[in-house]
Amino acid sequence: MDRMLRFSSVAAVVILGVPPWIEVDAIAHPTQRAFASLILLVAAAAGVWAAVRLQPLGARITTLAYGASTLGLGLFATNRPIEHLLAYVVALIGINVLLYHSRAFGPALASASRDDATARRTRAVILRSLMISGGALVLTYGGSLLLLPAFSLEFGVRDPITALLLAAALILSLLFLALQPGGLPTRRLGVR
Amino acid sequence: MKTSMVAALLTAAAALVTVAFLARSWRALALVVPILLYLGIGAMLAPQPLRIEATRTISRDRAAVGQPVDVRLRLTNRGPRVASLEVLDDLPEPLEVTKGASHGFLTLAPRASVDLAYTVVPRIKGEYAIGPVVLRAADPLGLRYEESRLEVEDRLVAVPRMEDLRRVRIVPRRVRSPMGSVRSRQVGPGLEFFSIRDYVPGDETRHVNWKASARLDRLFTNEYEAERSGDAVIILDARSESEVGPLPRSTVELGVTAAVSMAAKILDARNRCGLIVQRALLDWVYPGYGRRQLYRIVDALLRVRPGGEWSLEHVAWVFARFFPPDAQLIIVSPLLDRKAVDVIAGLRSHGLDVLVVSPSPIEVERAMYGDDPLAALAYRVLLMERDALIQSLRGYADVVDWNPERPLAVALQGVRPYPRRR
Repeated sequence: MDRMLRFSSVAAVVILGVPPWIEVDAIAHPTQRAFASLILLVAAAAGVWAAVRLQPLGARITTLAYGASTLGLGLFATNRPIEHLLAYVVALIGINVLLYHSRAFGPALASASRDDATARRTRAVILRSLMISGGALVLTYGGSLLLLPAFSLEFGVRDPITALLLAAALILSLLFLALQPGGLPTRRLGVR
Repeated sequence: MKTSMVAALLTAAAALVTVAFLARSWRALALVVPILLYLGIGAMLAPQPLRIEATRTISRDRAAVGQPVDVRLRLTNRGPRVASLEVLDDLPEPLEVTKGASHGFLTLAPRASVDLAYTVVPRIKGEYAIGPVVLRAADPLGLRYEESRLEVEDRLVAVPRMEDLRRVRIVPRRVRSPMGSVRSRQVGPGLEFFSIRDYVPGDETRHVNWKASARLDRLFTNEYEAERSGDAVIILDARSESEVGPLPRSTVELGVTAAVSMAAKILDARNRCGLIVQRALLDWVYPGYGRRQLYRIVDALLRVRPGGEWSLEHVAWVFARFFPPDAQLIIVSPLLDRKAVDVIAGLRSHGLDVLVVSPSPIEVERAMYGDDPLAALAYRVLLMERDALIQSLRGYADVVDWNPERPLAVALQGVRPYPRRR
């Protein structure tokens, strides 16, 4: 099961690399296209490394590169349907969750190779966690589609300075939320 | 507590909001919705603070290296239901889990108890702490977790492995007046027949040799060989330079095994036994009798870790000043120090009887490298060098070249039980 989780993470990193590749391929200028492809290649390599070595923080680079390429170009260059972009955002969250699970459960799964009570309990809990994560991602996508009509109305500020100030205020509030309460985990259980 | 994923998602949301406002694109702002929804679902599934008690029972608190010890950790939930609880009973590296697992995930209903049972085998001697117990309840979305550390610790003493030396004779060469089991080659109280002499008034009737008396028509008395005890001091070379090979089959660990096995054998025969360990510090246990002395020696050996760059001369100095001068000296060393020959010759010149037990570092290294033609050639050269060293030492001491692939008893078979001729 540990190997299956790792394999799924690697497969997810590779499969999610396809949409940004399609977007980058639409760039007309050859130098720009080559440069963007190189960045994507490095990001994919970092993602595979993160999936194999169980380093979820390493996958942030991949997420950033994939997200910037697909969403940036999809929104402003190729004008992809919003449903597709939403699905891609959920998939990017999914890949991070998968890597998180792979890292959190990996050591316990490795030590639970025998068929005893502890191993059975561990496998059951992990399976349920994965199912709940999957369900939450489906719910997220479904909820986003339901809320989509609210964003089809074209209204809001038109002045760039006001827009920037409003964005800064939103960012500050989000960062404030991120820092409250507690900190980030520094240690992983099962690793000595 | 929140995980780093919360910060990452919020940062992504912030970036999208900035882009949306700068580009005046409501489509970009719509992409923030799944992130916020996911965070919202995560907040609903956030775990509650943990209120769990733990008790641990271990089948024995003192075990030999390689002997299995059963551990049972009982967790009782005093709080709300915990859907996904990660449990880690923290174990030191030398304790290997052979059955069950000390790390796992489980679900705990309110007021329910769950047992985590596993078996550990200590691979290296030492005193170890089992615990503390680390608990972590995380939500399935990887956004929040609650961690708790329960300071439930149990001590496990892993005593060094002992070799079977029942068929080996390790006896101190010089005896002292207290009774023991070492044949002294002197007349006195004992069990072994020694000689016969004329009866003198006061001799015990049970010692009269009736057959000889009847044959020669006057009374004769049997004399017996006195059985006395002696002193032995084991010197263990645990310096950094004497450490060869990986744990637990390194030369120092093998030396510990040899030292404790010989100490047990010597004490079992009602002799006094002492110990000097040469490592970063000089540890010593003054000679004493009995089982309690064996425990003292074992406790001193538990702490042995390779270290220090002392010369063997320092040990000779300590021995000459603080230990009985007529004690049998047993040096346990891989003999990687070229000066060892000089030191042993010096000890011999002071009239000491020396026995050297040397776990072969060459055999330890050979076991590491396997079948390699270059290693085989190096092995032959090193073996010749070691043979030459041992031959030069044999002029001063009995030397036992111990191949760790074989039992120590086999190597000790050749030790002479009586003093060397001077």
